[in-house]
Amino acid sequence: MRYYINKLLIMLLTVFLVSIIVFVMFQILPGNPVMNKVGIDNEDNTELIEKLKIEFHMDKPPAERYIIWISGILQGDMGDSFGYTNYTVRELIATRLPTTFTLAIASILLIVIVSVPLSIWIVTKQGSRFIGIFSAITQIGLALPQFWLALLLMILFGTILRWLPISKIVVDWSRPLLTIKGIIMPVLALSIGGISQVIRYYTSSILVELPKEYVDVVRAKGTSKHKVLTRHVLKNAFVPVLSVFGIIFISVLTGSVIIENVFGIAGIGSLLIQAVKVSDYPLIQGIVLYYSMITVSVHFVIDLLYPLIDPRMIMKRG
Amino acid sequence: MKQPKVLTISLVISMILFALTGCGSSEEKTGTAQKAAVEQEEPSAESETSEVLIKDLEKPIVIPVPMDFASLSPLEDVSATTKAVLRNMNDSLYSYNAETSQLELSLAKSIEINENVYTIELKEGMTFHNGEAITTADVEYSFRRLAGEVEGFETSSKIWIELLAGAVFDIQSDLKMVITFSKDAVTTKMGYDILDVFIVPRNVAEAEQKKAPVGAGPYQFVAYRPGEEITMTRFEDYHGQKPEIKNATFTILPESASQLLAFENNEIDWISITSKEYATVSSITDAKIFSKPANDVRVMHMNNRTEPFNNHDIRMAFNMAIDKDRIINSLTNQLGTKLGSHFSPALGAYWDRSLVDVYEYNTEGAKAIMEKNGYSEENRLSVILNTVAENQLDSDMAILIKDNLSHIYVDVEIQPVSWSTYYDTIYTGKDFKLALLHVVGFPDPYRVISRYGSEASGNMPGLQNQRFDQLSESVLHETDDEKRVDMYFKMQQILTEEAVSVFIMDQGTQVALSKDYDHYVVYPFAFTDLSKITYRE
Repeated sequence: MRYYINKLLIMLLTVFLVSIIVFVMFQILPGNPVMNKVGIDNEDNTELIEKLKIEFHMDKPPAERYIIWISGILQGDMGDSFGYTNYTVRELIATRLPTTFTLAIASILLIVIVSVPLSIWIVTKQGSRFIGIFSAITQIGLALPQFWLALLLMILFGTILRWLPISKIVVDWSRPLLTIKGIIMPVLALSIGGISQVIRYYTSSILVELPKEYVDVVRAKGTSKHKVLTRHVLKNAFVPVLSVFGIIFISVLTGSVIIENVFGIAGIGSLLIQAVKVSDYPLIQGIVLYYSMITVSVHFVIDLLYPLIDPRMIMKRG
Repeated sequence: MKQPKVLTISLVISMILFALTGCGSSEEKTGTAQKAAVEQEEPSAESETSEVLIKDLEKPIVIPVPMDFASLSPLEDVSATTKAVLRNMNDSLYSYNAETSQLELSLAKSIEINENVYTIELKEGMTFHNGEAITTADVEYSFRRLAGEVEGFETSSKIWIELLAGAVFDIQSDLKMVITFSKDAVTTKMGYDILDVFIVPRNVAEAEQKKAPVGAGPYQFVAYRPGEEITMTRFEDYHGQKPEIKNATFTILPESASQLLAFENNEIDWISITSKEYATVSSITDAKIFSKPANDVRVMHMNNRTEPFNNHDIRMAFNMAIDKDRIINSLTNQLGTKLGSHFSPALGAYWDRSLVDVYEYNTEGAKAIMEKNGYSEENRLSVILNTVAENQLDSDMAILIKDNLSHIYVDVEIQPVSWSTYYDTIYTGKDFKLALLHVVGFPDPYRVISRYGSEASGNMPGLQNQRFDQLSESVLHETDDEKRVDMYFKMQQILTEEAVSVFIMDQGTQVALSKDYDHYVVYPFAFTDLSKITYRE
C-alpha cells in the first residue's frame, strides 16, 4: 500500500513539474497570441490590443498568470481558449478526446492482436531461413516515418484500390460502418511501428526465457511444447514487454498529432497543431498537461499490472 | 494474494475511468447548431458514382480548408481562411467584381456621396437568412459592431473606430439613411472599407452568431462540426443572382498532400494548387484549372535602418543580382508575374507595369556596385536571410536567392523561423537584415502600399521618404480617378527608385475544380466564391 501511495505522489509531483515547465516554456518562446487574434492589418488597434491583454491576463506578471492558471486547473477549469471564441479549453479537449482515444485504443488492440501471436509464431520458426526476412520487415516497420506511411496507405487504399476514404474521416459510432471504414488507415499508420516494436521485444524476451531451468523442469514433466510456451514462458516473457506497451500507448497518443493532421481527423492532435499555429497558450498548455497526466497514469497502471502478471513483484517491492 | 489483486484491479479500472472523464457527452458538444438540412453522402471511393453525382443536385460541392474556424461570427475571426469561407454567407452594401476590379452595389440600391455625407438607399424586399427584413437599422448596427460598440463582438476594426468617431446616423426610413462622417475621416478608400462590413441582423445576439451565424449572403448556414466541417445551403431568397450550386461543405483537411490525394480520389471538388502540384492536377481527367494573379507579393525586404542596407547602392545591387525570371520559371511553372514594386497586376489600372524591368537582372553590374563599395572575394558580405518556415515557396526562393547573391560577394545564411517568431521578432521587432515575406493583398490599393509610410507599423524595410508620406496622405482625399491613379504610380516609383526591397513576384493563384464543376472566379483577396461556380455541361 505504501508503495502505491508513493507512486501516486510521484505521479502528482511529475504533473506539477510538467505544468511549470510547459508554462515557463511559453513565456520564453516567441509568439504573440494577442496579435494573432487582432490580425496583421488591425495591428494599430491599441484599444483592442489592451482589452485582449487584460482578457488573456497578459498584463500580469508570469508568476501571477501561472497561479491563476493552476488554481483554475485544480478546480477543473482549464481557462478559455485564446483562439476559439466560443469554447473553453476543457470543452475543446472534451469534444476531441473520444476521437483520439478511439484511434489510440484501436491501435493498441491491433498491436496486441497482431504482434503477440506473430511473436509466438516467429519464435517457433527459429532456425528457419525466414527469420532474416522477419527481422528485416520489423526493422522496416520501425524505421518508417508515420507521415510517410500515412500517405502511402492513402495512395494504396485510397487512390489505387479505392477501398477506403481519404478525407472526411469522423469517429461517430452512430454510423459504425462509416467510422470503421474511416479509421482503418489512421489506425494502421499508428500501429505498424508499435507492432514491429512489440514483435522485436517479445520474441527476444521469449528467447531469453526458453533456456531457463524452469522450462527444462516443465519439459521434463512431459508438458507439450505448445503448453510450455503458452502456460509458462509467455507470461514471464511478457513482463518486460509491458513497459514497452506503456511507451507504445503514449507514442500512439502523441503520434496521433501527425496522423490526425494528415487525415484531417478532429482529435486532440490536430487541435494541438491548430493551437500552436495561433499561439493559443491556454489550449496548448491544457493539452500538454492532459498528455502528461495520461503518460504518468499509463505508467502507474502498468506498475499496477505487474503484480498481476508476476506476483513476485509485490514481494520484491515489500 | 486475493486482496491485493482486487485492489489492483479496482485501481486499474479507476485509472481508466479517470482518464476517460475528459470525454464529453453529446450534450457537451457545443458548436453544432441547426440540424443538417442536407443528407450527407457517405464518403465513397468509387468513381463509377460520378454519373449519378452530376444528376444529383443535392450533392454538396466539397472544398477543403487548411484550418478550423476560430469563430463563425461574421468578421470575428480575422484569419484569411475563415473570411474566405464565411464571405459566402454574408453580404455588404458593395460587392467586388473580380473581372473589372471595381466595386458594385450589392445590398445598396444607391449610395450617394457628397463629401462627407453618405446617403444610402437599400433595395426593397431583402431579407436575412432568418427571414427578417434587412433595414437601415441593421446597417447602422453592422457598422457600429465593427467599431467595437456591440457587446460580445470580440474583434473591432481600427478603421471603423476612426470612421465612426463623430459620425451621425440619420435613419430616415427602413430603406433610407444618411451618415454624416467627420470630414477628416472620409477618404477615397471608403468604398473598400464599406465592402468589408458584413451586414448582420441587429436582433441576433453575438452569442447566437458564434454558433449559428445569420447573414445576408447567397448561402446560409446549415451546420458546423468543430474540427471537421461546415455546411451551407443556397439561400433561396437571396436578393441577387442565385447560385447554381445548392449545397456546399467546407471540410477541414490541413495537409496539402492529403488534399491532393483526396482530389484525385474525387472526394473533394476544389483544390488550390502550387506550381509543383500543377502537373499532377493537370493530368487528372477532366479537372479544370483556373489561374490568375493573386494580388499577393513575394518580397525580400532589406532592413534600410542598418548596415549595409542603409546604403542605396547595396540595395540596388541586390535588386540587380536576383534573377526573378529564374525564380518564376523554376518555382511557379511560369504562372507567376514578375514585379517591380509592391503592386500586382491584380490591382488593374493601379499597377505600373513600366517598373517591372527597372532593375534588370545583371550580375556584372551588381558586382561592379559591390566592388565600388569595398566588397570583393577577400571581403565578402555575410548576411542572414529569414524566411517563414511554414512557407515552402519562400524556402525554395531563398535557395535560388542565395545562389544569385553568391556571385556578387554575398554569403547568405538562410534561417527559417516559425510564423509566430517571425511576426514577433522580424515583422514587429524589425530585427532582421534580409527577410522574405509573402504579403497577401487587398482590393484597396491604399491598404497595399500604405504599409511603407514612415510611421506605419508594417514598414518592414524602414522607408523614410517625405514625398511618399505626402502622396500617401493626399491620395486618400483625391477624388479624381486619373489623378489618384497617377499618385499611386508615383508611390510605386518611389519604392522602386529607393530600391527599398526586392519585389520579386505575384506567384498567382491556381485553383482546380473537379469534373463536375466549372467557372471559378479568382479574387484579389481571400474569398472562395461558391456563387459563381456552375455545374459542368
